[in-house]
Amino acid sequence: MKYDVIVVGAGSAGCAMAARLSEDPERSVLLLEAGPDYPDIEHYPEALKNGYQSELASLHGSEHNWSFVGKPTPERPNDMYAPRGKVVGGTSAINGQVFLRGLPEDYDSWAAAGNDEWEYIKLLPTFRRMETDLDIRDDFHGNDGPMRVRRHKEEAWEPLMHAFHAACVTEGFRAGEDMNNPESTGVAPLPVNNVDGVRLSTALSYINPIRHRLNLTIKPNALTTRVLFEGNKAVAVEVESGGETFIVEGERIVLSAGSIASPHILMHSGVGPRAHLEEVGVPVVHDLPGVGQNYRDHPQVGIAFSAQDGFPMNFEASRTQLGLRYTATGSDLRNDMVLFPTTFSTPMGDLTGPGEDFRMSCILNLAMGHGQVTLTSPDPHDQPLLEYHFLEDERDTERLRDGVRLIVRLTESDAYRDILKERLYPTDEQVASDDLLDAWLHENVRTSQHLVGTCKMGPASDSTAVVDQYGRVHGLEGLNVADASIMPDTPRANTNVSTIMIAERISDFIKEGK
Amino acid sequence: MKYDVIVIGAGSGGCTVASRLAEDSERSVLLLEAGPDYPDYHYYPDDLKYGYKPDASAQGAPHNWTWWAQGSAQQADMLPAPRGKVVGGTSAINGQVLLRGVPEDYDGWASEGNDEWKYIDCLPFLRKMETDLDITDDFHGNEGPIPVRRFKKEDWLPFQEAFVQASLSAGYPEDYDMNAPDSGGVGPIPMNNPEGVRMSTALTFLSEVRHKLNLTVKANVVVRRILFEGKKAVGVEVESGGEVFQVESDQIVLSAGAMASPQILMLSGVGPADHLREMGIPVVHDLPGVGQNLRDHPIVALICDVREDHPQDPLAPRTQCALRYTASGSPDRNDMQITASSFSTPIGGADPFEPGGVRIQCILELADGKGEVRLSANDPHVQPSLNYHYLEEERDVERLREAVRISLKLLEHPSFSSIIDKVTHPSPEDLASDEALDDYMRRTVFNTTHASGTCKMGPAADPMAVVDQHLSIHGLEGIKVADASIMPNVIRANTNCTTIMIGERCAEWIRNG
Repeated sequence: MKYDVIVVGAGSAGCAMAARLSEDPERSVLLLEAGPDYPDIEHYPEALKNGYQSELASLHGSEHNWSFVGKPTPERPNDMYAPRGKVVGGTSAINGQVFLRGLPEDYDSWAAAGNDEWEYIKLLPTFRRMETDLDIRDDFHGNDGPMRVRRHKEEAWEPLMHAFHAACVTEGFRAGEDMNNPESTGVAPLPVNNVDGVRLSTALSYINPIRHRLNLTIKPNALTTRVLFEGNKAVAVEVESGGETFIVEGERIVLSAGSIASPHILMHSGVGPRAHLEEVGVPVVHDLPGVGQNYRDHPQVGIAFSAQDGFPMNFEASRTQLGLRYTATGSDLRNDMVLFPTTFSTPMGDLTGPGEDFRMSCILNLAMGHGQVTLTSPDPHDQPLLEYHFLEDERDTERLRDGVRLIVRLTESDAYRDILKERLYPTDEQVASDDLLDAWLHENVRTSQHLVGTCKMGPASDSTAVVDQYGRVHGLEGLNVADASIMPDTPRANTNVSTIMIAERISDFIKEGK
Repeated sequence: MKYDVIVIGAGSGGCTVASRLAEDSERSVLLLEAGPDYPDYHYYPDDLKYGYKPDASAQGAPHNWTWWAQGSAQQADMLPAPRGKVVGGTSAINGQVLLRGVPEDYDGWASEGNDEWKYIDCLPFLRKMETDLDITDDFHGNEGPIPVRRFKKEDWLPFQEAFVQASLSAGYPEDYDMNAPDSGGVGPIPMNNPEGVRMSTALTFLSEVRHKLNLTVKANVVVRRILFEGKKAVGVEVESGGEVFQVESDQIVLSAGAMASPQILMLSGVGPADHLREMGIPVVHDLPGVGQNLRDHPIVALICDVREDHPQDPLAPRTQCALRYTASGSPDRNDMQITASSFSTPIGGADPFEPGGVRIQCILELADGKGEVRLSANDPHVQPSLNYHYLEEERDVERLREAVRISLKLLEHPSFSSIIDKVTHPSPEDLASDEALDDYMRRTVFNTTHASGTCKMGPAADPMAVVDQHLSIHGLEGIKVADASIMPNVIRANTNCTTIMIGERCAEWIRNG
């Protein structure tokens, strides 16, 4: 059995990739996923479906979560939850459903680094064809793509969102712009791929409409452990399924396993930094120093509040409806910060914890710092070590500090008077002191689950590049990476849209024979 | 896209063939099914799961093709011809009887030029498929995928108990193991439904191999035709989700059942040349036997009103015990079966849960009569024309008439006195003469959904043979048939067990090249 293409990982990228490549009935596609599959929408699990209570799906230890842990800073223990979707749909099936594009500058910077196919203007048709924007028809939006996008209407905003909006306007931020418009900034309703409360994952949007294709085979509960090579040519994958090990051949292998698992699989296949592979005991097939390096995310902290006595807390409501994008004081990176208010919150990893009612997330959208993903053993079942190295760059700390103080200012405005009772953390004392606030940031900074960069794209002249701009692994044949791991840097946005776009783009390259 | 093997139809034959072939991880197998698939047992539909409830096979039920067939020439209305349309096929909607044919059935096939099919050569495969939960001996398997059990005496419903008592009093031997080669008489039926769950080939064979990377199951796919290059079958053309696809393979196994296998063959240009021309189908290969020799077990029922205090539970098991005997003067051992059904619905009633007394069923296990399957349109979505031609052979009428009389005699036994009020069908007028009874039988005869024989196996010298004894279609390459259609003659038993055995043997031959 030999497939034309084997796609490893049925997440945001893998589902889109398999869907696009199987449009040609002559091309046989195998889509592999370690988690389960729910082909029948009637039996699609409630936790995946219910996008408003999004933590039902992403809780640590929950059924469709890999439940990885990572090390946010060298000083902190290796116990920060790093949710990743383990189901057909991947993390798009457990995420917060924000459907936000990066800024044109993000993609243009990738292009400037030697990837000229990735200029924003060249990507725009791809962004458009992947979506059906239910609110906006213009040159920047699509109206016949698989992902349905909408925004919470003002009349549906929760009281906290009204207060946030008013406070931002009072502070002088622009308001009401289309956040997927290239020029936009300020406070506005978030574009979300959630209609009627349902999280529209790539499984529902891309895969369900095409499950009937005879040239598409989806195999869930199948863990890909290695890519197998003949010389420099990737020829097959090794897969564990039902307690057995299988070898499946493919003319082309596309890794879409995400920023943790794609470098993980590559390294277990012998593709990665030679010294590291030798240290762990994996035979080296191809030395690629960049694999697992350049691990990037959006560092964030949560500022917690209690609600005024008697304020109705709505557990059923959409948690996040609006966002504020702004440029940090003194920064030359436009929209490098984002704030998300959350209408109902509990301490991380808990559904019912007491005390905390609301949270405001302060997110660094374009951090300087980066970490790494490394193997801890030659056993592909062992989770790799995730080291984030958050806030090692002073500019990152400064901007987060700036953001926390902006939140303090916003939430002290009149608009919040009837809603917020008190700020639980950081304390006034911490907010007042740079040193105390920095210490608090270091203690509390955590992941936004927007992991990118570990198989970064770049020209062959860049020794840390893993794939070329067509997603082909440097120095090898028949092997692509197509997921968030190829981003040289984070987009200034939640990563789902850009990840799907990458799969769309690389599917075109594969169709064109590139 | 090219598979090593494409199996058409995921029923009793197809699930078995595909599962056995996929055991070898080097062989890629595509299993095609027109109905839906329920890979997760958690969401397996109740109508398929609970075997005591007969609603899965009701006409119009969600997993039934709901085809219709002409029974006898005297019948104005067509008979329901339920066929499973779901992964598991008819084994997912059937009555869960896992009864083997008598050795003479298989030996009879062998004597017609199919010497691989002697009972002694089939026995290893009859054993391989099952785990008999009651019996461990040379004739029963204990490590196969299908669990088999019998209702224990203490679990027999009163009507079943009375039926057994009456049969024993009439001199029939007690038969605890109906799958023993020399058995006969009255006893509990071997059934593949532990805990009342219908253990279809989907839940048994296929469940064991679904994780295999070399097995692809595609449901909701209608096969339009088999594609040939000259006389070599090279692929299939299918409809799926409103689109048409072609998929290639080295080997095709047609396991669509005794109604759909000849239909697909004829739509592909393989069948009686004159009939194909009449339907406007280009002839790939003239095979006069395709669709002929439609066999089944004609059945005539007696219905009895029950006494007011006799409980009728539509959710209880309906048939637990059966009597097998040989008709007077017949050379065919066990050619008759009488079963007792503890719950009958009213005559003509459509609701399978509406009580209408109890029922005795007289089944002709080896009828002389034969029907046929013909195309009614050159269109895979139109059911073929099915005609059983029941009770056209005098010997068939005689044997069924005798069975009705035997049943009436049994019902006179005192063990029924607390259960039965009176026999309502046939009426006293129906019983007044042989002619009247024959007329009753021709009006009420129906099928046991044991369709078989329409792609019969036989040597090339037999012009009506469709497949050879290794199940390859005569005159063609790269295509086998593995389902009940290959039976040259219907077996004296419910067909599921033998159909699975045919699937086992087909897989074995493909594996051995």
